Amino acid sequence: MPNKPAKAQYDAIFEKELLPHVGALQTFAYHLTYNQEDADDLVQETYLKAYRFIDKYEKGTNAKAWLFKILKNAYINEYRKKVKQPTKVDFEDIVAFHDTDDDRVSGYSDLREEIFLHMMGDEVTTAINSLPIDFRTVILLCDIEGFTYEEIAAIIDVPIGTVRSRLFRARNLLKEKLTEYARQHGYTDVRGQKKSKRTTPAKTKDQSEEE
Amino acid sequence: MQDFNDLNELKKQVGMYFDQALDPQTRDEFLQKVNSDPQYQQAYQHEHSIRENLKKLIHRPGDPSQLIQAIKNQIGGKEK
Repeated sequence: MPNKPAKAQYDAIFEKELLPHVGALQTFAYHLTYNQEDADDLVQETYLKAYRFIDKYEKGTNAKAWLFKILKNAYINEYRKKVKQPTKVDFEDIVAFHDTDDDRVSGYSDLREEIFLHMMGDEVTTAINSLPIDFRTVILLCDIEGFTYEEIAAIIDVPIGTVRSRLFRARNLLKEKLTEYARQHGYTDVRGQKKSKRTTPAKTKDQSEEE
Repeated sequence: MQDFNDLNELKKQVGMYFDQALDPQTRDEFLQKVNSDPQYQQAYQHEHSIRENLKKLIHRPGDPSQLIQAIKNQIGGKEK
């Protein structure tokens, strides 16, 4: 807990620099826990820890990244212990095992914009929540919250190459899932089909009349 | 083959731009190409649109004011 003389200064930092990020932390926590009540508990725990260690925070530095790191650690250390996990080989372990450091970069250039016309609202959330947690985390931090590779590496304690590698694989998986959801709602990818239609010989006037 | 490499480079640059992973000089050069080359402009707008849709459509909990108050109350309570 801050010392008395510095308390007013720390309270001001807490109010002006840390509290404005509650909304972003709530979103991140919700997608880690899948549950609003647990998410709010996790965010509260994060802010209590931040306040307790506010003397470690340098005014004007990256408060948002600092809070996200505290939340991620709180989630790993406390929340996940409370959730009874069945004894099994976790897919997340497999994901981590196959982490590689590389410089592949994948955006969404091969994802069709039209798929969003076939979405009713929850598909993006469902698709992101269905990703293994290591993949979900980098998508949330990079694509939703706009952190840089360096910031993400610091938040989740992995090398930058691992961040890139996870993002590459996470986005590919997310694109597959979004496309599949869109297909279920009637989306058809017509790429390639137009070409095959064009190669079909045009009917002659006589053939059309016969029909 | 050159077209394929150019397209891959374009995709990579667009991805890196939106990931804020281009160094300042490359970023400026990239933005100049976006302004002058229709293919770059189209790729830029496509990536921008997809990422905006992801941000817009993801579930976000509502107004955080209650949670902010709860945090303030907890901190105030612990200090007493």
